[in-house]
Amino acid sequence: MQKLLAALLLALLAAPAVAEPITIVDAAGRSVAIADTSRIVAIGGTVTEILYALGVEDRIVGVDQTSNYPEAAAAKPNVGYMRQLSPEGVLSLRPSLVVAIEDSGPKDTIDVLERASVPFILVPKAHDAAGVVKTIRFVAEAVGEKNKGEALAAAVGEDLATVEKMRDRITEKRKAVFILGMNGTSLMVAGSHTGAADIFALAGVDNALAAMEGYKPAGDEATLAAAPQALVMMSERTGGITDDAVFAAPALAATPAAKDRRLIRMSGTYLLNFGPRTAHAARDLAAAVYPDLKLPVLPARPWTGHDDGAAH
Amino acid sequence: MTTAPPTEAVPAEEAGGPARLSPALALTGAGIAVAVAALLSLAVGAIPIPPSRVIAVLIQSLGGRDAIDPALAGDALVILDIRLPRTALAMLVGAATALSGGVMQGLFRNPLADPSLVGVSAGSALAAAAWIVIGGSLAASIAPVVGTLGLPLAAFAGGLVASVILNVMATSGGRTSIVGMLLAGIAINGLAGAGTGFLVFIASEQQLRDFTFWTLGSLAGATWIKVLLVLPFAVAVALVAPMLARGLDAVALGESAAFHVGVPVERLKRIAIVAVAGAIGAAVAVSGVIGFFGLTVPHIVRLACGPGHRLLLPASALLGAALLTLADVVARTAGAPAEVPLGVITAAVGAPLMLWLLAARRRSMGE
Amino acid sequence: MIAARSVSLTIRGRTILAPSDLALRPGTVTALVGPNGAGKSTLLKILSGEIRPGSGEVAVDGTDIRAIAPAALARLRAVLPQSGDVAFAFTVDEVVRIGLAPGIPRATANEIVRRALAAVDLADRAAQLSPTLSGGEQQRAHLARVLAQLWSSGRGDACLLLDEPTASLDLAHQLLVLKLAQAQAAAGGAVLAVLHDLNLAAMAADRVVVMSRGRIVADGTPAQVITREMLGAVYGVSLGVERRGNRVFVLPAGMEAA
Repeated sequence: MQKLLAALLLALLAAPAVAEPITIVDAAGRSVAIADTSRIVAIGGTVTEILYALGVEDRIVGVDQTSNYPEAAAAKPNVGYMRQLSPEGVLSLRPSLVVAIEDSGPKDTIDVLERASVPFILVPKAHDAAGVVKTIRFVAEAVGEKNKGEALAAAVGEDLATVEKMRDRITEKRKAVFILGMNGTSLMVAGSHTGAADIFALAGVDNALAAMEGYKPAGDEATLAAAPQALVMMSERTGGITDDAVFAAPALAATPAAKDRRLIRMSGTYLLNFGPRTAHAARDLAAAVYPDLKLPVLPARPWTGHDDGAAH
Repeated sequence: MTTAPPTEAVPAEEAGGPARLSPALALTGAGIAVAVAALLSLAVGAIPIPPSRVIAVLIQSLGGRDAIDPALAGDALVILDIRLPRTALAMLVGAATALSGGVMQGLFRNPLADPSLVGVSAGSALAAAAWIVIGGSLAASIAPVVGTLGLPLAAFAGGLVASVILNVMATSGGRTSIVGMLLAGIAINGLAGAGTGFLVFIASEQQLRDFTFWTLGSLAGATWIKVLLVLPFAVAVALVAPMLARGLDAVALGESAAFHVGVPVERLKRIAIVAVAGAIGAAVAVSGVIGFFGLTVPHIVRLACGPGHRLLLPASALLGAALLTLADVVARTAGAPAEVPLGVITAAVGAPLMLWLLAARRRSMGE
Repeated sequence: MIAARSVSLTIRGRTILAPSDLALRPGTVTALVGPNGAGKSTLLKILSGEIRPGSGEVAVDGTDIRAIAPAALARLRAVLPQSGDVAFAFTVDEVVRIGLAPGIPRATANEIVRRALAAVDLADRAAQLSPTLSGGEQQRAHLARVLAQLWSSGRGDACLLLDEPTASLDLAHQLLVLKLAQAQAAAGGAVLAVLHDLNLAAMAADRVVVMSRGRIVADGTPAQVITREMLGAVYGVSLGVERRGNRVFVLPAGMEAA
């Protein structure tokens, strides 16, 4: 007890960012004690985005491969793929806390980090509006910023509620296909139980290929039969593929989407991160799929930036 | 790296003889390389620790964990819990893989033979994919230890099953046909590839990434448990190898000639295949697939020391231990704090080296 | 000595070797002759223990060959097979050493290897890489390996089986090989050589065994076996046979002395 007190005192003197130690039950059901949040390694684009939105970016000492928003995050030291973390690589950043999205690992690395007294907390992944708010609160609490977290969660919750109201204006839902990538003319698409399906649901768009599961190569005829009215691609990985090339693919050439030339290119992190910008992403996607509804723009927030709107 | 420059080569006693390292020089050189690689691997990493403190931690740790100066506790954790098991694992996997490659090449009388040729690695990969895609979540809920060791154990079992099938398919009337083994290996590779392909198809994005990274090979997450998993198989192949050396030399003359000079060829093949399957299964299990390693190392040794297996096998084991440890040092420092997959490094160095060796061989043979 | 009793071999219904008996006598060079596909190499492989006959049995010094471990068998008989490619770049010296029985003292081993190389005229090629040798030189390197096996076997009268040992050799070295075969016989060993050249067989062998279509069709001294009739029946050729004392020569038709 005395030892703990001494450690506490020391910690209080050492860093201003240190709050009272708290214990959090993480996404894997582990109880993690967190004392010092002055040096954070953020694993997962969602986590990084939330930390920036909370305004604690100065405490981030490292990020993973998927943390590419905001752009400044990419300049931080990168610890690689979130499921292949190297214990020494993470330790070399002298972190006091690792905040990682669910499924990060491997287990052996988490064990070593814990033995080095670096708490490793797994953040639950969001799949819907309620989940986004919960994730924000969770991350904020883990880094000792409960109040800022409440404010952020409230603002994002408000935006999500606005999006939900917008969805009510959709009378006839449209079907879209999320194209992950193209090899020549064959498509890699998103089925159900994917982040793409989740953002579609949030935007009031039906996934034309909900019958298949996960990210898979699409059958040409199945895609054609699904008759999507819109195609969605990530702007990051697909720059080299022209609209014409997409519409010329045998699976797509005869679809309503090709007829209307409705190909929506949006940032993948914007669409799939399920963080503070998700309401805006869902609205932008809905606005692009239903241009005739003339959906209103959501209020700009400090964390949404200005250059992530939908582009055609 | 560790092959000595040509100036150190012992001149052939008579004109027309090949320039080769003497056994004493080759083994001493490879031994020094192992020691240097080990020290480097313990001293270098993403976290800078001055060599004096590395040495202090190592010396103090001889007296047990508690004997370490508390001021060095942080360094001790990095050196003893992260770098030391990792170095040990790199040494064992490197030695076992290179040794297995040498034995396989001798057995198949082909310098291009490799454990992956006969489907052992493919069997491991299939089982690993099955574990990642189907098994992992199921079993981890039963017992936590299965969660960490499940993948290596599954991969090992897969390699073992592949080698049993291989032996059954290639053996008839008590004789194992090397051509039959090669064909069976191709079939097993194809079958395992199909199974792996199917698992990749049903895998989620994340499982797919996990499997991809596993196939690239890595020693990240090395633990003493993994070291203990490989140790018996590495020791077994190391103990068996010297007994195989004379037989493998004779097999170079053909299996019948080997039998004529008194080599029990059938027994030799069986022992070699079992030892190699165990070693490769265990190595692949803890490190994933490390490309071009089992192929290249014996090749380098053969060029430097000649094809005699009495020297080739131990020198390959030592050089393999040294080179894989060095490759791993590169893997964990080149992109720090992230890791470059180990298989990428070994293949990136091994494949061009292989091409160069082949070109050099063609020139020297005047083809 | 090695003896085969009614050994036969049938592969997928095709008779390679009909039931045959052949006992190799100590101190004798036996030449096994016959046209291509007569079953000579098959019989030699059965005698060496390399392939198991479909029926019948082979005994070495009275013991069933299947009951003799390869290492023990290697001390009782040495074999020079037909093809002798070496998989890796071994030196000639290393190839010869492969023949040595295990556990030979180093100095003895070196001496045996030196003598074996000298015996086949390759003393100056010890350090050369085997793949860089000519075909004939490679054949002689393998012969040296076989000699090393005989000389390190610990018994002077081991059997020697040679499968076409003179193929790809020049005349001088053909004679050299046969001399070495005779020397082993003189030391008390039973020697069997598959030969194509009937004149060489007649010259070097004490006994000639003729095979045709999987059967032994003649067995006796060269003078008894090598006749116009045999040549006609077995080889389907019309050649002359010349006798001078107890030696016989095969001559192109029409060239025999009257």
